[in-house]
Amino acid sequence: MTSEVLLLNLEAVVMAADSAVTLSGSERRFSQAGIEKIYLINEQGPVAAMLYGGGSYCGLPWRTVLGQFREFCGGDLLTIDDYAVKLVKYLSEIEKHTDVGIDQNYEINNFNIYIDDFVHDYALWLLAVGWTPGGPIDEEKAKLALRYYEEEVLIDDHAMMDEDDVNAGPPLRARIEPSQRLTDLVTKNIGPAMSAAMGRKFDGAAFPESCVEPLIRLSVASLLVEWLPQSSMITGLVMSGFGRNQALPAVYSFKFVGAFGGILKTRRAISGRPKPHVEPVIFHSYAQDQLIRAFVYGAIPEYEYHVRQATTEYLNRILHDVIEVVAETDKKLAQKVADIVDPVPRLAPYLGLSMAREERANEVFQTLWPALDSANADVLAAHALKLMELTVLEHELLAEPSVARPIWTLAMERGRHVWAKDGVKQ
Amino acid sequence: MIDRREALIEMRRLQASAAARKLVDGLSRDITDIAPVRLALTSRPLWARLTKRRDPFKVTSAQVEGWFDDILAKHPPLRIEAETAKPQARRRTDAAKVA
Repeated sequence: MTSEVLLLNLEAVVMAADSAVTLSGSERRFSQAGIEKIYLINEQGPVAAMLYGGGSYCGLPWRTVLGQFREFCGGDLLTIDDYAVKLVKYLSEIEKHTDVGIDQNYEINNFNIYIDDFVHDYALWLLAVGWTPGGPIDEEKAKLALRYYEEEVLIDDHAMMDEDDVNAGPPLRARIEPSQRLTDLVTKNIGPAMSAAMGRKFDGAAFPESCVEPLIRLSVASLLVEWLPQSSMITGLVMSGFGRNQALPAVYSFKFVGAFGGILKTRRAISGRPKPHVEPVIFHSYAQDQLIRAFVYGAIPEYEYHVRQATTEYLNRILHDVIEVVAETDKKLAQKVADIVDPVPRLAPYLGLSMAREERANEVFQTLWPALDSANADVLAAHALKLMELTVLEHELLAEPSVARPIWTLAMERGRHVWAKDGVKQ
Repeated sequence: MIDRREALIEMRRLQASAAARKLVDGLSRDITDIAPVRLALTSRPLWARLTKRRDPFKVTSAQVEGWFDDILAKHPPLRIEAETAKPQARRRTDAAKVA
């Protein structure tokens, strides 16, 4: 497990990470400290990468993978954009760039895992539309779940839109180019992979034949779009620093699952740079960052989840009783009441939590934002260390070693970088 | 202003994830778990119970190419522009406020 922080302003970048790694076997799981999660890609810039999620790639330690990537890029400083493009391509075809004997089955294993996760997410939509596990899946529910899933996979809910786009339809996710290698891999393996995954996830429950091909088609389409299954084991990579000919630092971060067919399944997390007046500070935290989120938004995500669940269930029950009572005397009136209150159980908790989060965030950022905006690299590093302390202390108090000291920080200014271990410069 | 569609999808996710805990507990998340695979290979295959098919699902390269072409025709290409992106357009709701 991991906890990390990224701070950027107009003159400096700081990456901070704990150093715990969690090792999972078939029966035992334990954590130990002493792992590096931040790697310099180029010292001139400087440019660095920070990782969370997967502790290795194709069985290789990240130090080895990024060390070889660094050699692959050569000594000349590139732009952050070029580094990001090269790194995605490098990871997509890792077997071409290393001779350490990567397991040749990695490609098909990654593909099977991806399809398994894809079907798992579809099973979540089936549950959401009312499927009872173990029972047959009726055609109407299968189609409805497929429609929701298709929207999730293909439509970019977070896309920024121009005013001219109002009538252009929903924004679609960005896509990559396929290759013959990918086409061949998919043609050969999608049938068996889907058969095995659907058998496993639906546990042999009857599934409507009419939905088989649309589901397979969506799984194939999903390979090209910038989307990842929610249930996948995801690795995140944050690349930041000062690229060639760039006065300001920039960040490009993405999440990904394993490579297959010459592609790396990715989804962008952040892409940009600080902008004077508009957005002079970029602040992100990653992975086991619950207490950092609680500091900024007033509650940890799990707390909000329980508030939503409990409030929604309570409102559903009460409103259902109200409608039943009204229906005993006037069915038409009951239907009208039902239509009016229909969104209340879902939207009320959402509204309350959104307002509470916004209020807390405004309060925090009124003070913290100007402090981060005016900080040099050293001061920014001190802020990042304090934010990291929040999550490390939480894990120490709960005797949970999955996030642990030492906390490493890498503070970067144009042409200069400083490492620190628990606040002590190295 | 709350995006109602976003709220609905979020709630479906929450509802699904609560029910999914029960589902997932009963299913293998480890695809190297050979039990379902062995079952599929040696006895009445799980996939065969899904539908009335006699064979596993199959696709042709022409089908895959056609599905890929559909995505290529409709979706914008991915661009990595951390440093060079123009200032982002505002969301629809923000644009209305500015106007």
